[in-house]
Amino acid sequence: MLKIENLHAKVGDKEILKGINLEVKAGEVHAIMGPNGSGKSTLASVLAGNEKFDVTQGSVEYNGENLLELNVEERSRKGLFLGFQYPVEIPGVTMANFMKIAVNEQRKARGEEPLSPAEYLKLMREKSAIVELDSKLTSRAVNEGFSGGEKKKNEIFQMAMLDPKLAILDETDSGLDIDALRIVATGVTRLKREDNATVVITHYQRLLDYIVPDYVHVLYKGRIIYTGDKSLALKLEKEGYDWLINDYKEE
Amino acid sequence: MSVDRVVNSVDARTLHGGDISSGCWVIRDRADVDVVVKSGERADLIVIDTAGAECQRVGIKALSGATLNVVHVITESYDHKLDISMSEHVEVSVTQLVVAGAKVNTKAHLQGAGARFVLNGSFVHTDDERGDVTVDVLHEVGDCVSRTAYRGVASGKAQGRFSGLVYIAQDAQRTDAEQLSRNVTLGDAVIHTAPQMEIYADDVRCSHGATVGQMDAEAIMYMRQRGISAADAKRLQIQGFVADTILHAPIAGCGDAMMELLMDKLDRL
Repeated sequence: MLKIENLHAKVGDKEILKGINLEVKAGEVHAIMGPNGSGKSTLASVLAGNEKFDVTQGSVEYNGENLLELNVEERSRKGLFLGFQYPVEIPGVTMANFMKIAVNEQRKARGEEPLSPAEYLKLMREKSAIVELDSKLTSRAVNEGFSGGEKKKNEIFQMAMLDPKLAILDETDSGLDIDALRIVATGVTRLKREDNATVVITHYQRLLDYIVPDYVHVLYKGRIIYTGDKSLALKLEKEGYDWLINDYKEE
Repeated sequence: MSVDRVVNSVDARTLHGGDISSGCWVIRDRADVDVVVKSGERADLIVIDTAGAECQRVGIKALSGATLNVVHVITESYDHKLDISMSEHVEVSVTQLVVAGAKVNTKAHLQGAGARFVLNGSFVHTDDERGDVTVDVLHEVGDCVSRTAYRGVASGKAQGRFSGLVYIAQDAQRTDAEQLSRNVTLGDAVIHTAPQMEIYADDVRCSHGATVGQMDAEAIMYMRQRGISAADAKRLQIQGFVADTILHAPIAGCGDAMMELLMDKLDRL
């Protein structure tokens, strides 16, 4: 589904990604971990197409296409979803209206008719239940006045509405209490299928108690320096990153 | 024409001036009108301009205890004046939408204790329009409240101007006044905002603020990531910014029609 080869990217003059290699297949869950400032969020932004970052080298193939040639909205319409670390407030635009436009844009890109108001309401009710999102929130402005937990639930709600092929969740667990974490993680697990894939970027192992990854990667100084299975996350939680980083320095 | 929808959305009687009591009234096709809202009455008033005129002036006198809601829609680029005098315990709430490069002057005279004046306004200028919005809130006696919130948007080569004045006379003690001007510019457009306060009384509560900003790039990115095109994301953000004032229009039914008028204008951004 996703094949990243030797990806380099910079913001301004500063190179942040220094040769990422990663392959994600349908049905898989990948976790990307790593210390602060290692480039995790940059990788998510670059994959989403954020123009703040310049890709200087390497390639990204997504379902047989050159991802880097597509703009942000085209990537989204082709099924790439980014759960934001800091969801943005949009005053005066209701959640319901925002999602209706987004869902219908995606349908249009697939050559489908827009949803009728009744179909849309049904979809919204069904999907908000997955993350136990208070239905009142959908009539409020996007993320405005939402609590930290509500914002993150709202990201997963949007993911459920858009039904992506590849979801990249950027620190969706940060700032969540244990209940919200369970709800968010259960939501992600329920949306998992054989034909989609999830990349979870996280700082802490605890999310991975709920979302069981097939692979755990450690990102450090713009490169993936180690890949393991779910037991790696546990080891990182206990022992930190030092043993890996030290090994890496010696290389 | 879409401005008709604002009127058609409510059951209103045409007004040519004179005394009015409770009910919903419309002023249009008139260059110069004087209206008196009778004491204790609750009236809704829609003021619409029409093509071909050279100016429009509406003078309103609200007598003691009257409540008046005004929806003021400006679609033509000539001079508009709205002049409101308020006696004691009068409540006036105005929603103003300016979608033309017009000169619009609103003046509120708070002349009786306990009067309350609220103005929520928005202007949107596109192409090479020149707009000039002035709001003067004159606290002539004490114990009155005023709230002015104006939002401005300009795109292309348009120029917008907001001049606000809150005047508090020497005897107007215990005045509670707020004035806020928030603006967004796109492209080469310019907005000048000049909120002013002239305070001659010493026991008052007053605040004012003004901002001119650009589009929120992070919000645009967020919307695009959900599949919304860059152009639609911009439009949606501006719509949200301006809609805040319109959706709270005090006359039921007018909000949706004004929203449509606004959407037509936003197509030109």
